[in-house]
Amino acid sequence: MKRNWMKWIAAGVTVPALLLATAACGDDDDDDDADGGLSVSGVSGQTALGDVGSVYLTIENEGETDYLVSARVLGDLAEQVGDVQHHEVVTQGGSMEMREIEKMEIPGNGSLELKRGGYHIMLLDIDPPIEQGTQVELELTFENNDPIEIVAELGAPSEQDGVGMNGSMTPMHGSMTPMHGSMTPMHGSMTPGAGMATATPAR
Amino acid sequence: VRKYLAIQAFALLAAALLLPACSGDDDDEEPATRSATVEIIDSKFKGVLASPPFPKPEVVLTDTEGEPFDVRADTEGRVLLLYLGYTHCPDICPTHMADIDAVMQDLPPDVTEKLQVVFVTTDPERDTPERVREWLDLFNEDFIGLIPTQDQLDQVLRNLSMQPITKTDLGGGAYAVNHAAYVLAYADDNSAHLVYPLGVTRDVWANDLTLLAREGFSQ
Repeated sequence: MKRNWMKWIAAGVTVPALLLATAACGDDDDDDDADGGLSVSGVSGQTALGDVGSVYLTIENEGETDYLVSARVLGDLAEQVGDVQHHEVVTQGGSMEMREIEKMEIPGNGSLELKRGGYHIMLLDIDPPIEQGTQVELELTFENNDPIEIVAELGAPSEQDGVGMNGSMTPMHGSMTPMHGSMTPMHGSMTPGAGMATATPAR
Repeated sequence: VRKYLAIQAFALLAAALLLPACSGDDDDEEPATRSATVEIIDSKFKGVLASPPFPKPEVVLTDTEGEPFDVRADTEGRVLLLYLGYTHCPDICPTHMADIDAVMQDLPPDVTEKLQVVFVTTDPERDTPERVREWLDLFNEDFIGLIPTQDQLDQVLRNLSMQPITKTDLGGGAYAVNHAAYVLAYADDNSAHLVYPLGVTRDVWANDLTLLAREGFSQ
């Protein structure tokens, strides 16, 4: 997790991840939550026209398996944001589908990464729309741990992390089972899901 | 003829590797063609190969200025990057657009001059021409936005052998539109032999777009 931070800083990205929660921040007061093993890093977000937005982050878990069960907007924007949901983008048949997830597992001694093309927290029906760059305070609640508050800056949609770097490709989340004949990655430059080789002709 | 052979070789490659029972056009010289497929896999292109290639939709849609746009005629001879998406899309669609714009900043002028980026909304219900224009301008003012009627959208999807659009209800009247997750890249032969899912690196894009613009699609 420390390395994650270094990477973000090295990339010149300002990460407005203010960990306001006591339990997860490591300031040892007597708030001894179960194992206090959750910490959030790499918070970012994007919005195009200001009426929908998405938030990405990584939750590290040094304790037992836990679940992210909800996210809600705090502060002034709470009224403005119609709904907050968590979704998984599933790519199936070459087609993208967004699915709402009731709770997201954060494996024990592991991490949950919300990133583009995978999991995200979505802000819907933002009315009136917000400006790009708006900071949104969110409270994440978990099944076993105390809530954690974060601040996500909803910036302009930008080039995907890693895309600018030559070399390895960030594999898509999930697999791609094309509907249109077959699709074959060239040159071994992509790391397709196992479904890539399964052809489901639509004709 | 060369082009035809290449396409057939791809079909055979697909037949050999992926769908043994699906391709009906394996006429002659199977062993020779098959050995050639090894070279094809080790292609100069780095995108995802679509076999058979996607034809360019033969349809006239309305652009964000209200003018008719003939997808075939108005992109003739260009390298067309076609993407179907919607502006309420929180994740994949804006990222694809931002990625393409970022890649274009790196490409030499002779390549970018040949490129045309066309976005077709899969959500004509909510995506007005003004909204699509505003959304595309966040990425690149030269990106073309097309707003089909529902019937035209169905026709485009049929042309592309894509499934009809489905929606996921998000409650409160909101919905997500499920659509193809990749960008189609058409060469000047009006066929998209290559597609690009999310996560393609900038060097892959730059390599392939340069080749497509300067040489077209061939092996």
